[in-house]
Amino acid sequence: MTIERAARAAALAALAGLVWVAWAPARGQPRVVVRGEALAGELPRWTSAPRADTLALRLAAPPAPLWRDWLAALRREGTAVTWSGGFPLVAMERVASAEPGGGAAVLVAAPSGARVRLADTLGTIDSATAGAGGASFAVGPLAGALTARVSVQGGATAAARASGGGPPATRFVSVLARAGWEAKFAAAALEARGWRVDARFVVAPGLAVTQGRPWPLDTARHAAVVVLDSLGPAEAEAVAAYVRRGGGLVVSARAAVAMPAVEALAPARRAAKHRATALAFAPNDPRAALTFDRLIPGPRGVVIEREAGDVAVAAARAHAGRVVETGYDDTWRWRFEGGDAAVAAHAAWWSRLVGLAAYQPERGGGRPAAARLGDDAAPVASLVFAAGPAAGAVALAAAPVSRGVAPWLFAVLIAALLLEWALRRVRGVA
Amino acid sequence: MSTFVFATAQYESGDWDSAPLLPANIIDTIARYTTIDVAPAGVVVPLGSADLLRYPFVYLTGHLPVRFTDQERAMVRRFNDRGGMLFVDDHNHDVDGQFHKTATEEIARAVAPLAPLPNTDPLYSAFFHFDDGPPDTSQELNGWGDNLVHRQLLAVVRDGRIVVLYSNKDYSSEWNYSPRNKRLFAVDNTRFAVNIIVYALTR
Repeated sequence: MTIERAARAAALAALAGLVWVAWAPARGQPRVVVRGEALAGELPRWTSAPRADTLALRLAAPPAPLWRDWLAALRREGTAVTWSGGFPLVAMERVASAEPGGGAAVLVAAPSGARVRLADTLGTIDSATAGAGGASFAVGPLAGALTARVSVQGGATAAARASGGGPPATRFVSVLARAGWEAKFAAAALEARGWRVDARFVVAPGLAVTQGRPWPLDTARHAAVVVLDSLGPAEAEAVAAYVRRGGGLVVSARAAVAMPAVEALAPARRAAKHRATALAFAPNDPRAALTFDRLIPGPRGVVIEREAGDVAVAAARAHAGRVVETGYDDTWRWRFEGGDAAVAAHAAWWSRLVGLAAYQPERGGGRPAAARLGDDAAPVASLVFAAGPAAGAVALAAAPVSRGVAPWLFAVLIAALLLEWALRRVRGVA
Repeated sequence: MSTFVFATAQYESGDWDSAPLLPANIIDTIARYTTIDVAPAGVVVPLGSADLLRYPFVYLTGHLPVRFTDQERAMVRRFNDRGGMLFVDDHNHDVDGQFHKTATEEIARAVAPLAPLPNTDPLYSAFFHFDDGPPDTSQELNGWGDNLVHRQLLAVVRDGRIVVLYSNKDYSSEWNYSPRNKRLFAVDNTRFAVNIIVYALTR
């Protein structure tokens, strides 16, 4: 009887074990920890057969976009994903220049003190130690994708990538002015820097010398308009409307003050003349030899250039467009009377002014930079978006329970049942 | 506003001041026909001086042989490189004359050789329309000088723009009178000067 009862108890225990094993996959393991370098092999297997409720990642670097997206998909399917890692936070923004020569300002967010190395496909471009918030770079035309690699003490690194972008599509600049040296040489300077210039130089009432199609202004054709002399009320209103639609405007302070519609968009108020503080055009400060209308920036105005403490150039966003206001009236003198590099420097200055204002639609249908194919401009932020914020450090858990015990339990069950049945036959009960 | 100042080149050799009434007459013409902000008086600028670079348009004339000094040659070259336009008129109206021979040589040495300017150039439609090219002068029609009516001007063109304009038409005689006497002409004979100035200011 004792053996018989023991066999029955063993059978019941084996049965209970089989029920537990059968039920276990549905309930799942609480957590499986995977190292970042194993993601490539682990995620496909996990997708076909989830191993636990929670996938805990221990990462040495932010995973590539493919794995991030895969993790996001797993989360949406109900698997909890957590991660931890000691890599530095990094993000990169490439602000393309509107100037025909291309180039960009690159802003890299990184921990203070981190080493930031910027490279394109040809190699390292520049490096810097991040200050508070990160580092910024001014770069010329790029070859292929741009990578910002951030290293912190201890050797942990993270990299952000962005497409280099080609040179901007060269669009037209409309120059509207009375015939004069300033207008002529401003147009020549812009052409020398690769801008395509439409121009209208008024020479007499109702008579102008035109080049190209300077009017009407259209953001589809014109990146910016340069207005050096006042226009009639209707034309001034058309310029203001162009700016409100997103167009860029470079306007002389003297012209702006004579056009109420434009003055309302101007970044600054015209004040008394600033007299030249130098007699000659020194290469290191050539515009000190120029007299200009002093500007007093308004609340939206950003100072672009100062000379001896006085504001000479200011800019502001105006509705969808941008306005750059210059107090200078005779920069052509710098081109003529300056040193050997004056012609090129004058051209670069004018091109920069127009580039600051120019309307430049984002290439690729207006998608943000981070959404471009192959871009990974903010890998840590993207990881947080895909897998949630970082969790505390996780330890590797015990291996999951194997299903290999089920046959043994089944064998024990059968054996126990057979034994009990045999003993009962021996006793003559069954 | 950058004011246009009519500048006459003063050079070491020759008689640079052979048409003293011309600047005032051209200034009057510019003010009469255009809204260009023009200074009421012209200036004389030494060709070899850095002051040359204060005036992007310069007029040069004379009867006598022209020999630029090294300094003058360098400044003319620099003036053109910066975008300046030099207007040279042969006051002799004589292709065999000393001014023509020497001035064209000097321009070739300082800038580049002169070449005939097509009569379809934008210069001839920059303000008034001169469909037949440069307007004739009474000196040409009266048979003075080389007894020729010059059908074309000469020029050095750089990047599609005239940097040196050269004339054997003797506009220096044609336009060398007091602007008050314009009322005596049925057609103002200085109108072509407007084209030259407008071209210089807009091209």
